[in-house]
Amino acid sequence: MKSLFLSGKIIKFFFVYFTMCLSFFSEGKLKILTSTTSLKSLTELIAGDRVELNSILRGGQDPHFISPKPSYMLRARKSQLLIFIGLDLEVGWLPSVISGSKNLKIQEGQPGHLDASQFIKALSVSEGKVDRFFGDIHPYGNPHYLLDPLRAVQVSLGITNKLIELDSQNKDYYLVNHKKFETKIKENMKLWRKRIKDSGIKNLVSYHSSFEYFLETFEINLFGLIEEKPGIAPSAKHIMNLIKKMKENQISCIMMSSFYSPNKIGKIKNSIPVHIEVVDTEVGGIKKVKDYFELIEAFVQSFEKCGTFVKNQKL
Amino acid sequence: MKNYNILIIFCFVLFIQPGLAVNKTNPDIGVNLLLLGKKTFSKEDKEHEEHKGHEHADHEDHAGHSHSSDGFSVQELEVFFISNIDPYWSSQIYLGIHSDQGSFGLDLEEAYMESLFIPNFTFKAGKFYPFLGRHNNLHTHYYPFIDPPLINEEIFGFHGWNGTGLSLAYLTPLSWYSEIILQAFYMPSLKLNSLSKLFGEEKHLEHKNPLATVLFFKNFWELPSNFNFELDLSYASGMNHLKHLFDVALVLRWESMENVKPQKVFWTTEWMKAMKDSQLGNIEGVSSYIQWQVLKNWWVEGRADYLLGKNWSDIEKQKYSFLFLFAPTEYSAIRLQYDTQVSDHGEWIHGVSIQSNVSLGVHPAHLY
Repeated sequence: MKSLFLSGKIIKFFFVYFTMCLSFFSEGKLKILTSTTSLKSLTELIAGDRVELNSILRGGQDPHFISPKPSYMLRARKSQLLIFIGLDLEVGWLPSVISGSKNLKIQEGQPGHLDASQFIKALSVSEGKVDRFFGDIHPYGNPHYLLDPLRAVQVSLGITNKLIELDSQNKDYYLVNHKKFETKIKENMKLWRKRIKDSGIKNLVSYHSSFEYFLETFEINLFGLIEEKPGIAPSAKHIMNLIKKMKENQISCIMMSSFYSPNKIGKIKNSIPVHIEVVDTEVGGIKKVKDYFELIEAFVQSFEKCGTFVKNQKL
Repeated sequence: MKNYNILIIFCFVLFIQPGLAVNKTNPDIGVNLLLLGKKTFSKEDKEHEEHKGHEHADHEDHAGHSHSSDGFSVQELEVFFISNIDPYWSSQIYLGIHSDQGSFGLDLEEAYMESLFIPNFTFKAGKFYPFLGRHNNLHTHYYPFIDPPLINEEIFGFHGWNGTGLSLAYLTPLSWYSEIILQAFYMPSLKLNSLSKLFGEEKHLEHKNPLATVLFFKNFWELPSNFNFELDLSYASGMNHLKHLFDVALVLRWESMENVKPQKVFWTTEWMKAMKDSQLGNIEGVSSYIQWQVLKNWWVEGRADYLLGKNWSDIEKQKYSFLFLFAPTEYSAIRLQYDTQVSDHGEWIHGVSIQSNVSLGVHPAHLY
């Protein structure tokens, strides 16, 4: 008798619980989730306030090393479109977030599953056999393509087409915004190119291969990497060799993402005159850049600071 | 026979691997290798462990593994395959190869298919680890310590309990992460001697009830200042002498969002009670541990472990463990663990273990 009473209570509890759950279902604006803040910013420039936009990561988080928290699955659960960088950048955690969300709309192969890397031509695609002896490599190409404004325009067009596919009512709005974005990038490119040229920086040392696309577009040579292999801390021998080469070639500009500790390159700083620029590689990082244009602007300013340092050294 | 099985598996892996380069539809394949070195500083304990090792060797599913013997050994080699089957189903298969007294045994740890076509629900069928608390569904290479908590080992055995059955998970649309999982296992043809200690002392095993049901309720909240909190409730009933099993797990986590100096602190406390038939009594235990990432590649961990008697103040068994972990990359780690516990005769005994944990091939994310 007592157990019957208990069972009744349990059934009642679950009935109330499920009723509560059902009340949370709601329809409205297109719900979009991006993996990174830079993708969120790009999408925001196209979609404005016509969509509900969220990013899984915060600006200061390194997208290479993330744990698939249940709260990420919760965000993914409500989304109708998931946009991610691809090229295996999020391979360690995003598949778990997608499957854990139990949201059919964003599963692989569905219209709500958008790999933004399909819109660009990737650099550093591995050829032949690769394994982890070569570090934490991305065999399908370098995933840091959004730092190149020209590739960002290509991605923006891909996102625009997807938005039109899922929300055709706002087609004109999205197309106009994409055109605005493209025009503004083209206008800024002229200025950015000039400012970088005026900075006099032609060679750069970077911690990780984060800036490959940016450097290619702005015709700057990547002189060397602090990391000997991607994701692996540099050895003392590698650092000593790099110092020697930088000295011989009078390279004095190092740029590194705010994910990495400047302490690791203390030896270089103590050995040769060098200017280290710590930059955000995502919108909303430690320097709190607000949108994609500010992100690239901050990059250009970093080159100018490097240039000023080099000029002062020569005086 | 076991050796033939291993040979077949490796031929299978070797057959598939070369195709990876040309056939992108092949499953993701990964291998986890655990190498263990162990030394116990007690004659009494050594005798006990040896005795335990022989006991385990009698079982087919949970054959005595090298975890219990002093010396160096291959603790486990796990091979897994993960792939979508079609637009409606995905599948995961985990095979464990364990060494015991110089020979090797194969165990099908998990082999299941999961639905991809039911919104908000995941249906699963096959052999898998049930959600009985936080620890039971972990694979050996992902144990927070080299060994499981006392209560888990007492009830489910070293490698946990896996059963064949069905599972239905529902992610509720509440404002916090709230998931309900209902699982049922029905195994009337299971040989009695292949059962672990689950749901009844081995000497008392009678296959009274081949059905076991499990209810798991997971809740996760993001808190301010980079904290998060998880509350997991589990309930199981059925199979042999078990009437009820309750488990409550609390996890408080703090993670630094500063990538330059990554730091994490996880505090997990889990209580479990198995209520059996009156002549067998109850088993109850608590385990509480802290995992602290002090530097990017270094972790320090500490655990207090108790098996309780009839009253909370009546501790039957206690164990304390300390662990240092160095993981140069995501794919390799060295763990050094020190344990101290009171033997049945009231003597404090000590043990030191060193474990190498490496991953080859794909390395999917673990459950948070």
